[in-house]
Amino acid sequence: MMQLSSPVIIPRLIVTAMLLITATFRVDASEAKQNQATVFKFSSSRCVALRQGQTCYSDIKISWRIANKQDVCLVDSTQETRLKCWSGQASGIFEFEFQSPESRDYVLRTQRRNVDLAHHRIQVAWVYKASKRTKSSWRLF
Amino acid sequence: MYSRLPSFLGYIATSLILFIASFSVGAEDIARAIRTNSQAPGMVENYIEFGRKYQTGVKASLGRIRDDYEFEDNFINGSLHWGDWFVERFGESNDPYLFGYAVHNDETWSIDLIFGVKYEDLIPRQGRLEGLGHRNSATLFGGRATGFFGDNIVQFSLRQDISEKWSGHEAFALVGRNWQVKNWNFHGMAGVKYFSSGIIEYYYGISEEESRRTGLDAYKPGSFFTYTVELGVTYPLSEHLVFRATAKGRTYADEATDSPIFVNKRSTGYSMSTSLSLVF
Repeated sequence: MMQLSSPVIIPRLIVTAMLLITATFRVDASEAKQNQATVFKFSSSRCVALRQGQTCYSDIKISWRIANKQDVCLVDSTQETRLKCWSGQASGIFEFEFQSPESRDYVLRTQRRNVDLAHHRIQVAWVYKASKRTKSSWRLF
Repeated sequence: MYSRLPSFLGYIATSLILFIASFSVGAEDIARAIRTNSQAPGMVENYIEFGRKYQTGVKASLGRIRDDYEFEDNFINGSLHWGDWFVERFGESNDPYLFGYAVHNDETWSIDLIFGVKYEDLIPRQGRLEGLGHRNSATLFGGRATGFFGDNIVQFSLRQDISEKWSGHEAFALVGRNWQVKNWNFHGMAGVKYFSSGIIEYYYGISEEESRRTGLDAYKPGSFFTYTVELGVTYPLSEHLVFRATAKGRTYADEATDSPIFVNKRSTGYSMSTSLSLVF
């Protein structure tokens, strides 16, 4: 039985670790490369509210397509919540009602390794910008 | 001067009581805060918008028997602030330019001193009214208090005419509410407005001399109240384009329509309007 304290074992462990890390990067790189042709389309990228701070509403249709079938999730990355997951799919469609007073980011993320394959932002804009006057006591000029 | 105070306070108290008792019939059209869905006291907004509106309705009329009307017109709405000073206008409802100074604001109330010129060319001197003397515009100065209670807004205003040609004052109280359905912003408001006899006599009264010139009967009206209601919706088509639709109802006081100046003497008026505005 090999002793852990053996002077030979430490370099071997380091080499093995480096090989594993390299292999992992290769898999991720390969995953990303495989999905370079990813399509991540939103029916709308802008939501306009009347007033700053109001919740903005918009019916959004998302369609996505990747090169190879795999398990992916549509994630609201602003709040880190999953909207929908697909198993062994190369494409999908999802419809939802966007409701937010602020812009939000969405990603298509692999389930196995949490790799973001695509990213999209829904920008919230408004007509009337409002800023609040500082609270004050009675004043006259 | 002081002897007038109790009767004046009486007018205000009566106005408020009538206002509270008349939620279904009251309103006022100087409520930019309600129309633009402003939901907090002391909000500073800087914008200007140019729009075009179409309006149709029925109203008491000065110059003709028919009470129905329709027209298209351009308008300017806006709100500009420099520190505590501001100028605002909701021209879409024919409100005048209002210059003001924010005296106080806390979590619930905003109180402003306001100054504006109103009633310019209120009585056109044409046709049968050609012989009337010129009615000058009113230069009104006073205060306005706006209270925010959740989605509800209440507003009280008291303005005194400070021009030297005649004297008078007006007061209004209104309550309004905003609610949002998706990106549609609805508002509703109801209010009551009081005009003192000084204002009314100046605009709707007919002196003996004018009676001789025009052939109209001499007329000396007193003070009165009017009530208005308004329902509207605003939708942002883009960051710079806004659609509005508004329905309004109002009463006309007999003190006004009994004046020989009025040809059609309806006691109520209604209007519907739609508009598109470019906002900057």
